[in-house]
Amino acid sequence: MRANTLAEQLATLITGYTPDLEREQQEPTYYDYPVLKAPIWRWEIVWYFFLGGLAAGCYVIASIAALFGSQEDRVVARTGYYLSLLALLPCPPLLIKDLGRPERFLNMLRVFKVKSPMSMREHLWYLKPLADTRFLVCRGLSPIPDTTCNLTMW
Amino acid sequence: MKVEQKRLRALPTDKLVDTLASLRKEPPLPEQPALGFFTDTSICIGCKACEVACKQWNQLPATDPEWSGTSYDNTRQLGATTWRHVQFIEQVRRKPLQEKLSPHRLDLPLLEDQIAEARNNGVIPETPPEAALPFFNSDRWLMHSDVCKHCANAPCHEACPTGAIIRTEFDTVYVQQDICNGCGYCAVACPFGVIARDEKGDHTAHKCTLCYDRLKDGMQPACAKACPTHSIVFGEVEQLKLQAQERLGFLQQHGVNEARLYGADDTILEGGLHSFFLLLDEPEVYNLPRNPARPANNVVPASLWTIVAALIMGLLGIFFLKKND
Repeated sequence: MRANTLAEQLATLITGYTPDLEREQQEPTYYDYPVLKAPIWRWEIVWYFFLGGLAAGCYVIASIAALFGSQEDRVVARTGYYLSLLALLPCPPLLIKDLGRPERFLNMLRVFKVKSPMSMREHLWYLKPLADTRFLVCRGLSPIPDTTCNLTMW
Repeated sequence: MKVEQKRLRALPTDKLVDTLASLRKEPPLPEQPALGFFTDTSICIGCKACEVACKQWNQLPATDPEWSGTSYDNTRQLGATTWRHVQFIEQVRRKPLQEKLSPHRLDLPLLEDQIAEARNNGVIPETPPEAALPFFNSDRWLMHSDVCKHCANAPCHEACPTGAIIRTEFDTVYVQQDICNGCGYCAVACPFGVIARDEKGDHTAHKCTLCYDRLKDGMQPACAKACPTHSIVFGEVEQLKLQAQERLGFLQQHGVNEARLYGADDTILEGGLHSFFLLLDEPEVYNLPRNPARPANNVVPASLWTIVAALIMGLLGIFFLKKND
């Protein structure tokens, strides 16, 4: 009996592939050299994913709290928006630092390609700071952000 | 003095005109028939002339010598500075030989006796005439010169966020080195592991250009020119595909049932490859994926799943916050 760890079961669930050592050993290979190139993304991308996810999650929760929450949830909304902005700030420098030629990062912004995940992600950067600055402007104008102000952020 | 003043006055307008001219989109070059390679591994002798010719013409630096310990192939894979790569596959005592060969082969001389004689006496016997050596032995040595496939739907081209990877007028896939910013998306997207970022050089992505500079001058690529057995054939893709079918038919007619074409039909990557191969075994033996997928197909589902996840999280958030009312 092969002991299935939780990680293995999760991997099977996500990829739909069950590892089978016996079958894999009989499959023809070219000296077991990998077919694909390994990703060349290092610690910058790990932190980018973590902080970007944190920012997105905070923003969603904060928006929900602002739109549907009660009076005492305002603090959730406010913390969420600020945290989202803070987590977001290091992301673009991380993404640019990861490039082989960081000084050419602008080259990415002149192309819009639906088929390229990197392209789509780069262009999302226009929208997110826009929403954040609008939140800050709204914050500056009214002491307590009201629902109408948050609606305009979307 | 007057001349200098004139030049001073003329300079800004000149600069403006230059800047505007560089912004204008150039008209596309006249369409040419698609060009590509047909690499026939059945006549490859593993001389690596293509590798050397490619390195010389494209002025690519040598890779650090590293002993692989598996075969004569110490390069192991295509890379940023290796655009042609010869593989050596040693197959010793293949088992179900009879199943793999067609009945036609039975009237061809078997070399089992001669091999046994050579093993026992240490003398290599004379090969009987008409013997097609590498195909019918239980032991054989396959060579395969790998190269960029110049896919009709190139995943690297689809993934490139800068537009550095383009299709040329010869319908080949080409990396513009002055645009590429080395993000590495193409390297992960390529289902054949061809394109790579040059970590020791200029940190941009590199791969076979199908000798774009030579094509521009009406010459054939360096590897095809150097190949001594015409294993690497260069030409128009449509004609090459016919040639490949013909060669496959010839081989199968002579009993080499294992021969097969890789990338010559339009099924692979939903459009076929412009550089295709005649193989003598399963594609996996040559480190080629049997049925590669286009990574671009995942972009929309993955984006939708992200939105769904955010929605679920948001709904849970509503539920949680509502309880406090």
